[in-house]
Amino acid sequence: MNERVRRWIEAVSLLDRRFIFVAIAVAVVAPLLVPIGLPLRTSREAQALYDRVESLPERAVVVLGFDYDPSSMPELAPMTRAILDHLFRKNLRVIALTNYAQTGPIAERQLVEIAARFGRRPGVDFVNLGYKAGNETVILAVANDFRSAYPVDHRGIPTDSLPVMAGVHTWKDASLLIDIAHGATTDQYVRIAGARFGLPVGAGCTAVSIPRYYSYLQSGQLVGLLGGLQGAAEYERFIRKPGFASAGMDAQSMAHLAILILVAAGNAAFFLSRRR
Amino acid sequence: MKKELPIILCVVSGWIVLLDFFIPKPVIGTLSRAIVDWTLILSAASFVMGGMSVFAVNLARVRRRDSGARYRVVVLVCLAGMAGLGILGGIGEGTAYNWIFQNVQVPMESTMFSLLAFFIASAAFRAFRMRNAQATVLLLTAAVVMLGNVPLGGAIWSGLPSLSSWLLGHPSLAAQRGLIVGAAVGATATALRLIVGVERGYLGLRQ
Repeated sequence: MNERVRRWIEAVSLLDRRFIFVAIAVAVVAPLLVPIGLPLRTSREAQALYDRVESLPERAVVVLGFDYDPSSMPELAPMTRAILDHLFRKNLRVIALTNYAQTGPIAERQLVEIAARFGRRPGVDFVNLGYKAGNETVILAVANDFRSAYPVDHRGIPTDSLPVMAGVHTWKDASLLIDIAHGATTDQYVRIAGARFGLPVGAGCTAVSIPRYYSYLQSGQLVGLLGGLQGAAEYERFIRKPGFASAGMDAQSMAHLAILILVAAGNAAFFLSRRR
Repeated sequence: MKKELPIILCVVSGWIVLLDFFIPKPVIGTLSRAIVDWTLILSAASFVMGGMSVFAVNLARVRRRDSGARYRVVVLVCLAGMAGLGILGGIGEGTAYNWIFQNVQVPMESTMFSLLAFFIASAAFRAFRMRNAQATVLLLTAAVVMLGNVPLGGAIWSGLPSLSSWLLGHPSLAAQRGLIVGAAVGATATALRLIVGVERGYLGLRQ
């Protein structure tokens, strides 16, 4: 083994982690500044969710779970915005709720901003029921009545007085539930709202959670699934409104490539050093 | 009664909610709904107890001048400050509470989580080695799924996204389903132990 190879193995083995941090930062930032425009493939599960929303009649009720906190916002907010855009464009009634204590204000801001683009009004076209402590028990309580679980909405307005809630009492009165989640809430909705009350459930999740939800997809317990930023980019493509997720796909591609190159270099150095 | 009463409450509540699933009688439905409503109230009340506990524990440590006391002061000031702002001024749009939440907490939490990408990259570089056959399979699978789930994968080879979907939809699905079924059986067993009064760990008691 010549001296150059030996030095290369040493350099890779002792690579300063700050170099790795810089490499990842460059891989993420450069495509955001100079987009590559890699072609986006759409998945069946994302298409299925879009088609399900598309098939709903005007003024049908869609329950949207904002089940993530600020830590997962960069990954999950883009798909939430794309779905909201679609729901409001189709003039569907949106009932938003969350099982996370911090997320009521996050949901409110996104709802108000996107509803305003389509002239949809709070209380009439959408409502943010906000947070209610209890997790699975809250889902069970809604099975009895939305009003007993949520007597008032996030703004403190009595739920019973809101036109958007007219005729909506339990899960059975909704046409679709979409849970955007980074935790286990989708499982709970599938178990109670889906399995027990027959409400079709769709989901959006972080990329790391995708394998977990394939089980529910294959069994038909989820009608569609958006996974991570890729799922959000696919939905943006369906609604023909490229946004943050579409722009971020180049960055994610380059970040994945950078990690794989680093791992490959590490393994090459590992094998060469063993041979030596 | 200090031990028996919580167990009786748990057993009776558990059976009523369980029976409500199978027996559509109004009296059971009414009792079940009441129990669910009480649970919601108790869940909300537990937040108050949790907040008081955090405050009391940190205050005691600050008084004793334990290590990291200055950080505990920050916790206490933030806890009291945000609670005060929320209680006095509300939490809706346009309030000070909401402004701090949207402009301080949301970006800070997002940033903290995003930093994980850098540490994961560093850890993957150092730890992901093809030391044996299993590690090699793991690494190759990870590479296929990582590339297959981003547009770059399709640009490199058009079959990569399909291969990634196959990995997620077959081998991974089988393992995930096994885990889910296993966890469900475990949860059922634990629930049965709770509603027959055998499981007492939640009370801090021995079985």
